[in-house]
Amino acid sequence: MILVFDTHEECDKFTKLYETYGKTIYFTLKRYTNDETLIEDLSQDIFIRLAYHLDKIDLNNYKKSQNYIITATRNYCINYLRDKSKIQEESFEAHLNLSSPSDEIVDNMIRSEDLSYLEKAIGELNEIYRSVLELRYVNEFSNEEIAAFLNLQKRTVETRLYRANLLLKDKLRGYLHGK
Amino acid sequence: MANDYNNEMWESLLKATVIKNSLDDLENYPSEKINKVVLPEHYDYKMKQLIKRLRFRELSRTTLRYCKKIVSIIIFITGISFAVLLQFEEVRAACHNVITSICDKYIQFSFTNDIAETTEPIILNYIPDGFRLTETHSTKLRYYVTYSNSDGDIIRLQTSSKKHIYQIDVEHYDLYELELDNATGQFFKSKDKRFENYLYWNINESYYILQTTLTDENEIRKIVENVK
Repeated sequence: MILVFDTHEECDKFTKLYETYGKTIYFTLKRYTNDETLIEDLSQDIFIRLAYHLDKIDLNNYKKSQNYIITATRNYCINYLRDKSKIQEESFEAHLNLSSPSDEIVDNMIRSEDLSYLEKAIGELNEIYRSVLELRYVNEFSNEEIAAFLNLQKRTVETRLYRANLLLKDKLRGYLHGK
Repeated sequence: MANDYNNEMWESLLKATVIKNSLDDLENYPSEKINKVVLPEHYDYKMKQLIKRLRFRELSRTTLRYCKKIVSIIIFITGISFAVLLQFEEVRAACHNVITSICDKYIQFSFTNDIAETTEPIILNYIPDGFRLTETHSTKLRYYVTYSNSDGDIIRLQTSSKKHIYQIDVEHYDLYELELDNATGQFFKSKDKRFENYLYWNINESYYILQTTLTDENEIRKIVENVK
């Protein structure tokens, strides 16, 4: 991957990115591993990947950009460690219960104006599904960008997004019937 | 249509919830704790090297971009000029010569050994009276010197370090060995006045040929034994 900036402004922004969020990235990675060499390598990879999305990072909005960077860092790290440990993706079909139509879930959430069940369901999701959701909605990556960021095939990303949606709806259905 | 509406609503709710979840997770990243983090020296050094490397690439990329444009223009102008110049016969001939010389390098093989440019000269310390030097000639292969007199007699001495084969019609010659000071020569004595006499001998790495109209063997031997 050869990274070259188009303008001096991009170059300066990249430098400021490190100066502002260098410690944040280090702190985030430290939560997942204590291997300093690994942290260095992951940091370099993350910075290079973030540099391709500089236009999405608004350094003037600290909270938003901090959220963006932490989400990207966390998910990259989780994906890397998962790949390294070679954890197999668990079987998907056994978890589904398709007895109720899905629009009932949406109607229920709109009527109750309560997203707590959805928050809980997202929290309970397997990290591989949560990663793609966060990169999609928090970092606003396209499917291709998620695939490039996590070193996955585009098809894999699309499948995980699809499954994440189904799993969430299935969990919510369970909560509804439990209510 | 209802399905599309539901899908869009689901998408919006999901997006809002995912963002809310991630913002809530920011509580695990308090600013005070992050500010207290001391980046390891090597880590900081490595990141700054990365930034420096990328800044350099940006500069070299800009320079390369301009250079490419300039080179493209030069190549374009050169191409047009060459096409115009090819209308002239001289240019076409010159190109033909260049192509031929390049091709020759691949279809031709030349070998030059490291022998001297010329063969070492020989000096005759004894020349019979009346003879004067009329010719000397030196090449990489041989050296010869010719003396002649007013009667048309000649003495030609030739030397070489390369192997040669000489053919002489022995019908008009008597062949016998002639003892010299430091060699044994082969003497071809002519039976016909129209043909010269030949004496062949070799010393060390060189061979010598004396070609003469003289008939006196003693005189011939004296000339040969005084060759340096």
